Amino acid sequence: MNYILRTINLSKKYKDIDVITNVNMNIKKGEIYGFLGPNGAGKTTIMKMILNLVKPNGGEIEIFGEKLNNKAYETLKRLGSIIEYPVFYDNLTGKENLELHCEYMGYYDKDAIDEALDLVSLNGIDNKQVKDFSLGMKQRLGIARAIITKPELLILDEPINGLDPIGIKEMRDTLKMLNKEYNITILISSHILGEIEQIADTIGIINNGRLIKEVSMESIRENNTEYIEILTKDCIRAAYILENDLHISNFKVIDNALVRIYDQNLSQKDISKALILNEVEIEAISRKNNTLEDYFLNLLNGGK
Amino acid sequence: MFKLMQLEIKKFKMRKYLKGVIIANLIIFAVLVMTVFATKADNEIPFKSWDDAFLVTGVFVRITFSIFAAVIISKIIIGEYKSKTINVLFTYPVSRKKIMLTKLVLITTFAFTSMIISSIFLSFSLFILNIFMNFIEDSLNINILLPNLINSAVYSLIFAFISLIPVYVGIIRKSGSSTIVTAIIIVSLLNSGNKGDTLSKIIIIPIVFAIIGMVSSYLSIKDVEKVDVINF
Repeated sequence: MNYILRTINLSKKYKDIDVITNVNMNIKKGEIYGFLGPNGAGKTTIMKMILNLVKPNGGEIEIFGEKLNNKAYETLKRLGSIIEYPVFYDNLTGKENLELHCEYMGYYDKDAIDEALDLVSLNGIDNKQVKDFSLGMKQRLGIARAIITKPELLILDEPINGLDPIGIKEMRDTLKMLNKEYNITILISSHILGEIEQIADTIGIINNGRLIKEVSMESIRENNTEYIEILTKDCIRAAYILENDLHISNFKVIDNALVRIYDQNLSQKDISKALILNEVEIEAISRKNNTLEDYFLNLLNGGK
Repeated sequence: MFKLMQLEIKKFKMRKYLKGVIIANLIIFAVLVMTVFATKADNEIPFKSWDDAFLVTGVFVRITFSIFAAVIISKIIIGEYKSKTINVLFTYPVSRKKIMLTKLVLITTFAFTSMIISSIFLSFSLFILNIFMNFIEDSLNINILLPNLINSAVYSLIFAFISLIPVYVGIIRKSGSSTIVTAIIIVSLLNSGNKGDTLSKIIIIPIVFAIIGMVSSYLSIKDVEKVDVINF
């Protein structure tokens, strides 16, 4: 498999406190990798380590097939990033900031600036200093700056903070477009599940500095699609019937009151019929969708 | 390096400091004129000789521009850490050490040129003023002028490096105001005294300070590639 970025047992301590512990991340070339975790889980620290801003205490980072070291300047040329919130030289205009960025990056394509501004729909900002920008505008400008050089890997730390709903939608489309048309691999972090769910190909779930799970969205969708939920007081008996009479093994008893059946072959009607015939009292039965949110919360709680 | 300097100048709109230098010069000149008028009114002698005049202007200029340099340090070095723009700057494919070195060179160059140009400007202004007011009786000839010019060039160079001491303190204390306070303390230490007898007159002392400035500022950027970038 062709990986653009791998971390191997990556660890970081701040003053003897483990912030990141043995993280093994694998980002494939050309995918959108969603980095999911509550605030303070360590997402930003990992991203800073990839950008060489923070140095790991243990483990290593392999990027574009090479080990990251202190002098990996050529690597930085192939990256675009926003870390934490977008910062600019406030006394300059948005355009001047982008020009400066291109100069430092050694990128001299005159049209690229306007193109990037168009992509994030930031027009008519010509003479406005960045200090007069709203957070949403700064966020857009930050993304414009990150994508201006068409990097191979784009690292975006909470890029949708401060954007309005239309902005979020536009952002999602832009990222998908960059991913498809320019084949840019994207590492995007967020604590908002819905957003990651809609664009990511793979998600890495992180909590307390540990990567709890790395899984492709496809397999989450396959494994956690629909299920039938039965509310009953007699779970043990219900479970017995499901297993013996209906031959279902793909179900789960929760809190001794709920039975969730993941098997897709049986209809709601057949199940309720079997249970009623065996005198199991059903209080409620319904078909439900397991969202990423449930999956996420499950993992986070299970990790404790 | 030159390219990086240009970018720094553009980034911080450093051309506006030119205006600051001019205003500072005018204020120093005004103070000198007032001194001349005030002492003349009391029937005292403002400057005993041209040597004396050069000494006083030199002290004024070096105090002013050492502090001015500290203001620039707090803006272009400490300010980058404070506003977190350093996080962007350090993700560029440019050696971080080189970036920081550029800033130091820029500050030293600014301090040196502003000091020497101001010294020349103020001496020349005093010369013109003297034509009308005649407060210094010696005539200014090349034998007085040349050693004094060399002297102010040497002192400007030394003080340009002394101006770097606040870099170290500023980075350690993570504070722009500490940077400026350090500069004020250093220049007052070196330039205060009675009747022109200051610590900086013993040339070895400012030279030691200049070396401290060079070494400490180098130490503060030496490991910039190896350590975590911490925002102030």
